[in-house]
Parts: sequence; structure tokens; C-alpha cells
Amino acid sequence: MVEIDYVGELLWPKYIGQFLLIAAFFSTILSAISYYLSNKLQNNSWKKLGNLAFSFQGISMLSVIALIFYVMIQKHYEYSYVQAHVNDALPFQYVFSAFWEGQEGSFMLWIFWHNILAWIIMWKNSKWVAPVLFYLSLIQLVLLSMIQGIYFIIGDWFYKLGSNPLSLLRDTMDIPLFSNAEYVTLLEGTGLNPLLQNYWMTIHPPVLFLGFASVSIPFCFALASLHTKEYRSWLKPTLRWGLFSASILGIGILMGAAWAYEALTFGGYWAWDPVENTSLVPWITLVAGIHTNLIARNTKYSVKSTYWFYILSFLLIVYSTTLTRSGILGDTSVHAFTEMGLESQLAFFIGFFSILSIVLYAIRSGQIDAPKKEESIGSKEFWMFIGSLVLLFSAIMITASSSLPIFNKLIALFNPDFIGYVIDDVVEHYNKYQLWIGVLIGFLSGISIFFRYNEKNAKRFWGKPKTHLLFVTIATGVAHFALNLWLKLTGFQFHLLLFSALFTIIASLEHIFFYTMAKKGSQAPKKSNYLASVLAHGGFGLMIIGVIASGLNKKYISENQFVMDGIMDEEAARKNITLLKNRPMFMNGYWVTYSRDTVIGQNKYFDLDFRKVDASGKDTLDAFQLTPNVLYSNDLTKIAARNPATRHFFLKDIFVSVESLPLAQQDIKFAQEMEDTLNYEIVSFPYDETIQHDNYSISLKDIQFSASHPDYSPETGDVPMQISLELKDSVGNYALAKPAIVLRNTVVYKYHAHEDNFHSRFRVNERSYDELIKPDIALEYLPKIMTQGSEIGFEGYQIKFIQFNKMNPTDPLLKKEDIGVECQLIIKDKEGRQKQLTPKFIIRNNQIIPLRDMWWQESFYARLTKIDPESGAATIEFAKDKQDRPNVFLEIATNVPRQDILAIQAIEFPGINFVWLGCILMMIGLGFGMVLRLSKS
Amino acid sequence: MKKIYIIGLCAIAAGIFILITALKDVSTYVTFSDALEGKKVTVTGVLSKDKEIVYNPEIDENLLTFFMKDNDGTERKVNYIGAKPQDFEMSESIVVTGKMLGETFVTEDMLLKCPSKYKGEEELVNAQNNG
Repeated sequence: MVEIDYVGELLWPKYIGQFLLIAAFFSTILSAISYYLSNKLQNNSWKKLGNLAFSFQGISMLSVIALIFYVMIQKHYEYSYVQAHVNDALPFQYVFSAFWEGQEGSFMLWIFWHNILAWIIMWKNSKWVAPVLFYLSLIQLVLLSMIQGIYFIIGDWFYKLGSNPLSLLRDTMDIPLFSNAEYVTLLEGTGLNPLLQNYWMTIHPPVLFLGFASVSIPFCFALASLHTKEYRSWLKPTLRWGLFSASILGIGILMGAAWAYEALTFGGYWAWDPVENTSLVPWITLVAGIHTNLIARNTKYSVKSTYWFYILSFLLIVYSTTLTRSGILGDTSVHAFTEMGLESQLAFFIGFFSILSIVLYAIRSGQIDAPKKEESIGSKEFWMFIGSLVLLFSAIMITASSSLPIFNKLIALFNPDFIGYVIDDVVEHYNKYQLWIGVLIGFLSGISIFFRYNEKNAKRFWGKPKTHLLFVTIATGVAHFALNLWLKLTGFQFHLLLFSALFTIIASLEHIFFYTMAKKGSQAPKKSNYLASVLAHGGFGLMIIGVIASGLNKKYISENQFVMDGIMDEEAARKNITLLKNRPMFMNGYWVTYSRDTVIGQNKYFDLDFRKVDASGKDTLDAFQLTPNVLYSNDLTKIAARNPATRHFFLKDIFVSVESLPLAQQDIKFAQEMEDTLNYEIVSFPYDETIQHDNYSISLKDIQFSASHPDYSPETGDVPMQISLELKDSVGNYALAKPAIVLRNTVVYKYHAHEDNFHSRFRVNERSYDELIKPDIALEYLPKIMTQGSEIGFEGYQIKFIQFNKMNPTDPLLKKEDIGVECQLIIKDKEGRQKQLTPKFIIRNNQIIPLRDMWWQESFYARLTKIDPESGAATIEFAKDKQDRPNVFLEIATNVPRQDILAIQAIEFPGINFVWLGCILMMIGLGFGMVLRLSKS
Repeated sequence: MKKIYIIGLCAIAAGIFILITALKDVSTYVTFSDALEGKKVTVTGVLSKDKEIVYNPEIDENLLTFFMKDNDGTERKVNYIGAKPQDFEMSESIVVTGKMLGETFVTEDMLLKCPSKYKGEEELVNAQNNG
């Protein structure tokens, strides 16, 4: 093969990047060895070497990330990662989203956060640095292997280790394009998936990956403590990291839900999609781990389960990564990554750390001491432990159902005929079971407040706490009754769920009021710790209330009342409704009008006016406008994304999305096909007559020798003509259609006018040029010499020369350095009708170009041919065409599909703010718990 | 007996109960000929591109009618209750969940698999043609 000297490639980022990637990989191996030895030999210099090697890796990876950003911002499409994720039109603020759109970028984000967290651990410099960072180095090593892109070839066997984010396009594929030495100039970027061009996608991935990365830390602590046989002292620092991690991971997931609610059109914040589920499950087990960790800190119980919950959380994160990135979810998830051939590496990732954890635990488990006696039923730890088990149960159920695609794939390996299982109604399936988890968690988190740690005497509970419990239960009942008036619950299970949610809120509030506020003495429990727990548990309760309200009482405003029989089940909801432009439509208490659409860049916005009326239908209660939009693909040929619009109220949201548009607006190819297949009929009639066509009348109102049409952009030398047609039908529809025609060089361009109410499209036929505008050669011009103010007669017309004007230099008719002059004439005919004409005169390169003007109704022409600069006398030529009534030639297509329709979905979500507020309170509670424990140490 | 064993037994009992009830939520992908009248099933197949695809939002914005061939090659008319999805004609395969009503399969839940959703082969090919 001939070596080609490629032109225009920027190669130094590739070479430096490759070097840094390999250097990072080997320095991580060095750091792992150093930390291991430091731990084994209890030697501080090995630890220092480990820190140095790990930091070198960190700096290398920071540089690699900087290099990728550099080639992305500079748009070097010869890099495959740049070509795949960026294009020329991409606004700068989305470069970040483009960076983590791909697998390589998101792995680097994960690696980046590991480094930040590792530096924090180094900076704290506790005895845990070497053992914890030893295990973190191992994780980091596996992650780094994902982005190496090294090929191993031994004979026929070949293996690709990872995918290098700085590889060139021509290294990754072999197509004839690369036989062109100047291929770089021919490349275009693909650009960022328009669905991800949303500000949430700038902040959601980094937070989520910080969450992912932070789950590694409790895991590393767990393994490190088993490694170093420190079975108790690890509990304190790990609790802080666990709280931090649960808080950040929770915020990350919540941001994803907010993005789904705001940018996706499925009408909700949670769809129980496998990708969502597998990121939620580690959070659930992490929260369970925090609770057993709290038990272990305060009593001697639950140390072993704390190990398992932290180990499990990390393994579930890896499992989630495997599912999302292996392409296995292609059938069942809308937001999985595309396959990249990393399956075997991902399987190694999860397999290696599972085996490592199990083996390490098996070796050490005998040494972890646990109390012989069981937890008392009257103790806090007992109820907290039960709660953790319930969370584990929830995690297992969600994981099992989400893993159905994996199960199908595994069976299919042994039995190729196997067709696989699917869950029919995904959302209902999960809701049905997780509801009971919610009920149990609500009651357990409420009831555990009434108990104390290390309580041996179960009977104590029936003393003072009993009265508090009674009070809380009654208060919950009252609140339940009141809320039920708003929520209208439909089943006993929802009553139970609401009751349990209220129970935990009221129990938390009651507790903080009576116990910690009232008792300021030395015996009082640590007030601030309780505050964190109250925030988290109260937030959980509030979230459940929001979930019940927005899920159960979600109401389609856009309900179509005219259900057609026979094509569907009676229970199937009719969720969409079609609007015609400017025709108000009534739906469930609202008048909705589609009033306007505007195109801005790649977006088309639809203004929908909502007017809420009272029961009588007379009084307007509220009026607002919502503007959902559709986003066209980067090449503007198709709709790539539909963005809903939401109106937020305190107690509800109103959510609107565009469900369907006329096909011609969805797909430019279809629009062209439609225009090509329309049957245009040529219709001609004398200019001053009104004719009947189809079921309406047409008459010519005006002709202009300029054109304004959304598809037309004027160029010099154009000969434009636009006519105004008045359309009327028997039912009172009226429209002024303005089709245009433009002669550019020798090509005729037709710009149609589309009139929805007449189901017709109009074009100007080119014969109108000949009829309405006679070419100069066919006319007999008579020159007249006129000065400003002079008046003459011609063929029965009175002509008055008003004045000369210099043409505005910005006039589109003028090119640079042209000089243009126009003269104003007033023409009067015998009947006294008059018309102003302004023939023009352009001097271009010492040539004179006269531009005539005409009174088309009279077939009267005027042109300016000469100006005597000394006397100011102008030579103006006039012509009158003898053919009296010119014909208009139109092309009319009837039965054209309407273009002013819009199918929308409008949903009312009551109480959705409680979902967000509750979740935010939960995460604040977790974060606050961490901060409190930090300040105490 | 230790409490933990009682709790464990309860959890296992609950687990078995849930597994049995949850199996009802699960079905296999079937073919049209297996789909009995009125029973909810999931069918995978491909769009019959030679047959008519009807979606007329002026008349009914919630109805898309098309013909689909299942994996055995059996062809049925499908009524999808909802707006016509983007790139419907481009789909490589279709997964529908619903019921047979007479000779028509009625579905509210449709998933399309479209070619190269995220990848930019097309642009590359364009570039190639230009070069």
C-alpha cells in the first residue's frame, strides 16, 4: 500500500494523548504496587510514591481531557470522537455535552472524579490513604483500560483493549475517502444528538458521574478495612463518604428525572426504563448501607451487612454501566449507548471486583465480631435493620425485572430458538410492587423514631413513647382525611401509602419538636443529627405524596371527546387532540388556541394560548401561553426532537407537547415529494374578471415587481413578480394569496402560496410574464424629453414629471459602486384614474441599465434612458400596448392537505412540586448529615 | 428461634409470592397467529412497506394504521392509538404490545428500532461522495 502524505491533519494531540494515556495506565499500576507495599511494610515512603504515581496519572488524564476539548473546540474532524459528536453549527455551551455524549468521554468523566476524590483522601492523610487508594487504583486501572485503544494481535487472534478517544478517523475505518490526501477539508461533523442539546445535559452527567465515582469510596473503605483487619475504625469515615455519595448520586438521578420531564415528551419524570432503574438501585442499597452503618456506629450490630451493602452498591454501579454500555438494552431502553465492543472488558470489570470482594470477605469474615445476643425488638437498630432489608428487597426486585434482557440473552446462548420474555406493562409492573416498599419504608422510618439505640427493655416503649405514637397516629389520620379531599384516592393501597407517608412526616416533626426542642438538657440527643434525619425522612414522605398526586391524579386536558368505536378498547385513553390554527378548541375546562408559529434557527415554536374558564364557560379564570417546540435535525431535513413546554403553578403543572405535525413539516423530503405530486391545473382569466374555481372565487388584486416570500432571498439580476389573489367562498372564508415567480438568469423559480381554508396551493405560471409584462422589443417606445415639473400628453394620458431621486445605496437592486437614479412620474388616464410610476436608471461600469416601470392594468410602460447632467433634462420613453385586457396565468392545485394543523398533548400534573421538593429535601438531609459529621471530626 | 430467621422466612415467602404474581406481568414475544382475541401480547416484526400507511391527523390524530409482518411472515393490519412517530417508515423493526380485535391488532404501545440513531455514517458517506 502506498503511504499518503495527508494534508491539514493536526497530529500532535494524537501523539501526546496516546503517550499520556499509556503513561497514566502504567503509573496507576505503579501506584497500586506502591500502596500495596506501603500497607504491607507499613512504610511511608512507599505511600508517598503511590501518591506521586496516582497524581501523575491524574494530571495526565486532565491533560488528555484538555486535549480532547481543544480538538473539539477547534473542530478537528480528522479525530473520530470530534467527528462523531461536534459539528460546525454546535454552540459553544454544548461542547461539554458533546464531550460526555460518547462512551469514552463519560469514562473520562468518571476517571476525572475518581482523581478529585483521591486527592481529597490524600489531603486528609489519614491512615486509610494507602489501603483505600490501593483499591481505588485497581478500579481506576480498569477504567483506564476502557480508553486505551490498543490492539493485541497474536497470529489469527486479535483483541482490542478499549477505545482511544484521540484516534483519527482514518485509523478507525477504512473507506476510499482516505485515499484523498486532502480528505480533512471534506469532512463534516455529525454533531450532538439534538435531544441532548439541553442545559440539563450539561450538568446532569457530571453530577451523576461524581455520584458514580463517589460510590467507589465506601467500597474501597470496606475492602481496605477487610484487608487491614480494621473492622471498626473504618465505620466512621465511611459513613461520611456514604452520606456524601448518596446525596450526590441522588441529585444526579434527580437531574436526569428533571431532564426527562422537561425535555422528553413521554409526560413524566420516571418511566422505569432499565437505564434509570439501574442507576436508582445502587442509590437504594447505598441508603440501606448508610442505615446499617449508623447502627454499626451506635451499637455492635450490622457491621457485616454494612460491608455487603457498600460492596453491593459499587457492584451495582458497575452492573448498571455494563447494561447501559453493552448495547444489550437496545430493545428495551431509549437511552442506552451504542455498542462499542467493550462487552468483554465490562464483564471483566464486574467479574473481577465481585470475586475480589467475595474472596476477601470469605477470608476475613470469621474475624469480624458480632454480638451473640440479637437486637431487641424494642430497639432502634432492630427497626432500622428491617428497613434496610426492605430497601434491599426493593433493589432486588427492580434489578430482577430490569435484567430480563440479560436473562433472555443468556438463555438464547444455549437455546437459539428462545424468543425471550418481556414485561407487558412496564410502569404498572414496577409501581404495583414498589408501592408496598413505599408503605413499609414510610411506617418503618416513622416508627423507628420512637425507639432508642441499644434498648434492652422492650417494655419501655409502652411507657412515654406510647402517648407520642398515639398523638402522631391521630394527627396523621386528620391530615390524611384532609389530603384525601384533594387527592381522591382510588384504592386502599393508595390510602395506606398516603397514610404511611404522612406518618413519617408527622412523626419526624413531632419528634424534633417534643424531644429535641423541649429537652435542652444534657440528656437530649444531638439535635442537629436529628435535623438531618428529619429532613431526609420528611422529604421521602413529601416525595411519596407528590408521586401519588401527580401519578394518580394526572389528567389529560387534551382528551378527545369524539372517540371512534371499534378500533380500540374502551379503556384506551385518547390523549391527543388536533388544533387548527386560530380556531379555539375547548378541552376539559380550557379554551386552547394555536395562534402562531415561529422558526428560530433549528427550532420551530408553536404559541398555544390557554384560557381557563369557569363552569358556566363565561368567565376567564386564568390565561397563559405555552410554547412547545420541535427541533429539526442538524441538516434541517427532519424533526430530531420535540420539546414540551410546562406552566408551573404551586399545586400543579400544565405540560404540553407537540405530538404530530403535517407530514410536510416533519420531513423535507416528504414536502418536496408532495409538491411534486400535486396536480397543478393551469387557469387563466382576464386580469379584471372574477372567476369561480373549485368552490371559491378568485380575483386579481395587485401585481408587484418585487417578491416577499419566506423561501425567497433576493439576488441581483432577479426579475421578481408577486401577485395578490383575493379568494372567497360561500361560507365566508376570505384570504389574500400571494404566490410569486422569479426569473433568475434563465431559470424560473416559483414560490407557491398555500391557503389551508381553501385546501389549495397557488403558483404563478411563467406565461403571466409574457402576458402581463411585454418584453421591451415587443413594444414601440416613444422618447420624450422632460424636466422636473414639466407635463406632457401621450396617447390620451397626462404625464407629470415630479422629481429625480437618488436611489438608496442599500437598495437590493444596486451592486457596490453602482449609481442609481429614479424619476417620479404621475400618470393620469381619461377617466381621471392616476398611478405613480418610478422608472429607474442604474450606471454600472459606465454602462447604463434602464429599469422600466409599468401600469399593468393599462399596459402602460415607462423607462428612463438618458439624463443630461447640465440641463437636468431627462429622456423618458413611453409605450402603450394595444392589447387591452391581459390574461393572468395561474397554476392551482386543489385538495391539498392542510398545513395549519397541530396535534398536541396537554397534561395536568397535580402536586408534582412535592416530588421535586421532597427529593431535594432528602438529598439535603443526606448532605447535611455528612457535613455535621465532618465538622465533628 | 432467632428473630432474624423469622424475618428471613417472611422475606422468602414474600419473595416467592411476588415472583409468582410477577410472572403474570411477563409474556413472551409471540407471532400474530399465536395472539388470541382479546389477550394482551407483544409482537415483533417489520413494517410492510408495500402496503398503505394511513395517518390522517385531520380526521383522527390518534390513529395510525399500517400493515406489519411478524417473524413468521404473517401479515396483519395494525391500529396504533397515538400520533405517528418520527421516521416510522425508516424503522428496521417494530415491537407492538396490544390485543387482536377481529382481524386487526390494536396497540397503544409501540417501540421502533431505527438504524444508526447516534452514528453519523450518512454524513460520512456524503463526504465520501463529494470527495
